[in-house]
Amino acid sequence: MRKKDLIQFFVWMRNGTAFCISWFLLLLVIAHSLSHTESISTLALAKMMLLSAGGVLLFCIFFTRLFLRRWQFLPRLTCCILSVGIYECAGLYWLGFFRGSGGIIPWVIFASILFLLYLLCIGIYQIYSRKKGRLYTQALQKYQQSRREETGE
Amino acid sequence: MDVQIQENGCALPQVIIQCRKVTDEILQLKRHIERLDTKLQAKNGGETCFVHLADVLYFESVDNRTFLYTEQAVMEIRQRLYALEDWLPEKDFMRSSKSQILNLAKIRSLKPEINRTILVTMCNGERLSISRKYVPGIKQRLSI
Repeated sequence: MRKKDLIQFFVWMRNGTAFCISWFLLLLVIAHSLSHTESISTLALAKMMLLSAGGVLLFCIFFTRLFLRRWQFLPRLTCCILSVGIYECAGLYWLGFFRGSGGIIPWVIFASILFLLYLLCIGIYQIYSRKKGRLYTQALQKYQQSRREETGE
Repeated sequence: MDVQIQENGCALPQVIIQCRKVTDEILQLKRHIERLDTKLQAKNGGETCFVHLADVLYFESVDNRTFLYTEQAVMEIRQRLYALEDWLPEKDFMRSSKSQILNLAKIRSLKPEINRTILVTMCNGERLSISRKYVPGIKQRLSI
């Protein structure tokens, strides 16, 4: 377990948890305002914080190199989306947003959102990867050209 | 042009070009002489042959044996990888992993991966990988 990977893991945990908690707090405030609820309970806040921290932990496990050093992007993304999906489901039941087994339509919507998010991440990664690859290849071709000129070939 | 050979017992043959002024012709002569020393003895099946460095795609060490790969064949050579690394022109060949040395002129494209390695596609379509340890070296060489 390298020190650098450990530091990165904790930095990502800190940053991710701070971001998620801020974002969910904002959503809670908006939701409670819209439902004209005057106060947010400390229990709800604590649950929200735990839910955020758990989601960030899963993300960091799959996307830092502390535990999974040789995985490519796609397996990481797939496992992360699946585990976060299951975790969020359980979390939302715990928070009281979901109750009972629910109808088929809400589950289909939930699964579709996760699937779309998955495809979006793949799309973004492909674009980024291709762009960076083009830059690298251009630099390589420039180098090859300069070598050809140097050697007179 | 006066060509002379002097036997003086030195370990490696040395070529010194004496001239009044360095011209294009002299530089061409120098390059031609340098290229003469760029062949490797290799075994292809039972046969011994000489392979020009410019034809090599990459070298690989497997089970304490070193192989060179061209577009047509795979041949065994007697040099070890660490010795090759010292001998090969460093501007054209780079170590890409613990067991491979690549010919930069034979790379078609590069693609960085999320695990911080670089995927290399050679001119014959073969895919290799530059490991994380050697990525900074290639980036420095290509000024990325």
